[in-house]
Amino acid sequence: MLFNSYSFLFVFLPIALIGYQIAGTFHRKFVIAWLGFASLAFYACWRPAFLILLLSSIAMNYIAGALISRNISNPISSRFWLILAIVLNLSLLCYFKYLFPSLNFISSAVGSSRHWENVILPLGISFFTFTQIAFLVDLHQGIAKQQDISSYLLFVTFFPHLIAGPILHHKNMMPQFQQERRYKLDLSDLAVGFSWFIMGLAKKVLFADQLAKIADPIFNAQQPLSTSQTWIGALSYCLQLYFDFSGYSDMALGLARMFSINFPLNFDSPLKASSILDFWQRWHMTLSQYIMSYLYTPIQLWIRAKRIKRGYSVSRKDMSSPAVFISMVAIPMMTTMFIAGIWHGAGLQFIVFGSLHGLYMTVNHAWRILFHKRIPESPKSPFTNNLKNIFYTLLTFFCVVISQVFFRARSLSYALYMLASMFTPHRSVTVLTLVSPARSLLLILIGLIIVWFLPNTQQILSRFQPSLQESAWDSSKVPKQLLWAPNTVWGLSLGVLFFIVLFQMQDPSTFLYFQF
Amino acid sequence: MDIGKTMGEQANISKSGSKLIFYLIILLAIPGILYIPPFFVVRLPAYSKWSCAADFPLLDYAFNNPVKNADVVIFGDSTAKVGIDPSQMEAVLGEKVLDLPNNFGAVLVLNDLSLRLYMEHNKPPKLIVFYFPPWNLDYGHDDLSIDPIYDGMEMLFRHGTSREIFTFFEGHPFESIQFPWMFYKENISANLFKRENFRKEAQQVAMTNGHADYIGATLRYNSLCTIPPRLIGRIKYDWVRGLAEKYSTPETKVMVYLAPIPACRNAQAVVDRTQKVTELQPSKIMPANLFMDDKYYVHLDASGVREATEQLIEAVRPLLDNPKR
Repeated sequence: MLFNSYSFLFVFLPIALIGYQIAGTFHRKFVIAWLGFASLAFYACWRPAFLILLLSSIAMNYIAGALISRNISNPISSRFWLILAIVLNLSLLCYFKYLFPSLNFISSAVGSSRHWENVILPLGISFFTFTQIAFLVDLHQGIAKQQDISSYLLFVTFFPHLIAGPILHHKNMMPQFQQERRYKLDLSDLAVGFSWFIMGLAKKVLFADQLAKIADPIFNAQQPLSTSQTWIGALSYCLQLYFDFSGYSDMALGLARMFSINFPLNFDSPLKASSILDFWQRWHMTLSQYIMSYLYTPIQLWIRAKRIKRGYSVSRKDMSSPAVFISMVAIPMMTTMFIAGIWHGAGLQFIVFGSLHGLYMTVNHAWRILFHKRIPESPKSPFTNNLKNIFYTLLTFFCVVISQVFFRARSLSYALYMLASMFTPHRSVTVLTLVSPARSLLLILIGLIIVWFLPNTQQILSRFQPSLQESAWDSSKVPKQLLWAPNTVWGLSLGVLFFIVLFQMQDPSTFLYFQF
Repeated sequence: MDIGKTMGEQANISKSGSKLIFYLIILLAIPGILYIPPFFVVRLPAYSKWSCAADFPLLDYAFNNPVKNADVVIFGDSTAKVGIDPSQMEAVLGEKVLDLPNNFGAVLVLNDLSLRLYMEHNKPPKLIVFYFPPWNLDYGHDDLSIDPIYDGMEMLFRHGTSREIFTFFEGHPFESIQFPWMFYKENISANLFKRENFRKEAQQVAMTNGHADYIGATLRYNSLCTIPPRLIGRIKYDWVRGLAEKYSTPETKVMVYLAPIPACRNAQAVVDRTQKVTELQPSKIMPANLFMDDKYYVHLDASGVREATEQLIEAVRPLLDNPKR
């Protein structure tokens, strides 16, 4: 079921809210059970058969958790159970996501005509797999505690995040599920959450879906394209992806808030970032935190341990030496982003996407560590600083647009063709009838104005503490007129927006991150 | 955290309940209030001047009794609308000929409503021609999701009786409750800048008693085309047979005529299948490049209309009492 569908808005959501209110009159455990049940029903609406897969994954991980935490007494080391559970989780993921694309790739590489049909990718498999692996790792390290089954089930399946994140961490969610508080619909949370949901829905329906109509024909074109067409395609897709995923995240956070549950932020105006490191702290933030915690840091610690063992220096001071930088920063970063690229898909273009970002971030780190500190800072006027900031933001945006050509292209060769077209001026005789340049440019311009000059949704809602991060509660930088409040003006504005969204969303399109 | 408080209260952000309720009511009231009018607005006579729905002028034409007491009435889907020119037939046959313009989605929703209303308000014609492609002979059993149905629903809410509307609602509640959202999309965002094209189309329909040249796809099929097996598999005859039986009277003859199909590589398979499943004269096969390359495989380009109409004239001539020769 899609958030941007009538059945979700007018059937599922009201039933889930009413059930929550009724269950809340009894006991916390009824609320947890109801939300768990509703989430499973939400998942089953897509393909009921895959509910078995989801439940099997949860059961397997829950048992593994019990074995690791010794809730089920056993003589085998918890490390063994952890490794076994991780292998099983990743095997499941690999089967659905990578096995057949890899076989087809090998088959075509060796010139064989054998072709395997891809299996249907269960929705959200990456998200629920990673959420559970992180929980097991933390259990093993003693950071997490084994939970009762209903809380665990809800933690994994809670419908606002089940399909495409944000990737939740147990330390954020479990206390909220187990907290002794009144579990009933709170008007304030309902108003904040529903307003947030509408803003996210508008991003998806009014921007992402419209930009898709421009980007799709260009990325799917079979005929040569002109330089301007490829730039329009690349910019449209960059904005489409932003509005699609940030819209989804807004909806997810808004929905959770309607049930008085706070999620961590997933987006913080990433296209305003002034460096690529800054970008990754603002884009898909929960994934960035995940890969930093469970990939980058362990790899870095492992290398560090090796270096210590060999008697090499590991101090921060020595980081400015190229050799130390390469082993302590560049290698972990490139490895992490390579894996992050593969996580997004089985094609070579995803590997290039991840590696390119690894390279960007390595260069960014190198600039900071190796060069930037050596340049003495001279006092600059605010004008110069602003100018510098604008330049850095545009440079970052440019790098992101280039990388996302790989992310969207149907193959590596098509991505390279697109990039070649973007940077070698030429005209095309092809008329793409679906793309009107004037309309496309107008939409791109509006999109850029929104992402660069307007506050984001959590800033607009900042007076009402949206999300877990307190950093998002600062409303001082937002013009007063743009701060949301439950008043008539905002009611009318969002009411009109909701109305427009409702009639525009007749053929609900899936979210881009559903494929991951 | 204080036990016994909701999150909103813990965050000290709760406003007074009445203020929040008022806010939520305003927010929901706008879509709620705007949801109702479309059901009534479409029934207004003046709506014909405002509507931006693509096929509104054509479909509405069929309901406005444009040619009184026609001798030959053609009832079909868009295949008839774009493929047959009633004015050419009239000139050759010397009989009043009317096509009741339709499209795929409209037939799915309306069934034979326009023909039924026409028959109620006019003398029985000498001949009714049911004109469909071979794979669209079984509308009554099709799922509504296979084609856009807004045009048909708009006509139903505009011209249908409350009983007819209620019957449709009973069978298709989910589609029916979406009607207002479809109404706004069609009239506000989807076609706002295409109205001029629709007007020209409507003028042509009025001048020809029901024919409009095809607009939409720009490419044509070529002789290498293949008619999809899913279309061939759809050749079933029940619905049109039922219609033919319903309208056949001593005064009115009926004829089911299969629209021409493009000379794709497997066109003969369509003919064979038609002969196997129905007792009808199979479709004529015309050059593929006379057909527009859309997913339907039956829409003739304007350059093929004359020939297709001549074929139909030859088919109906024996059924008319005193056709001019």
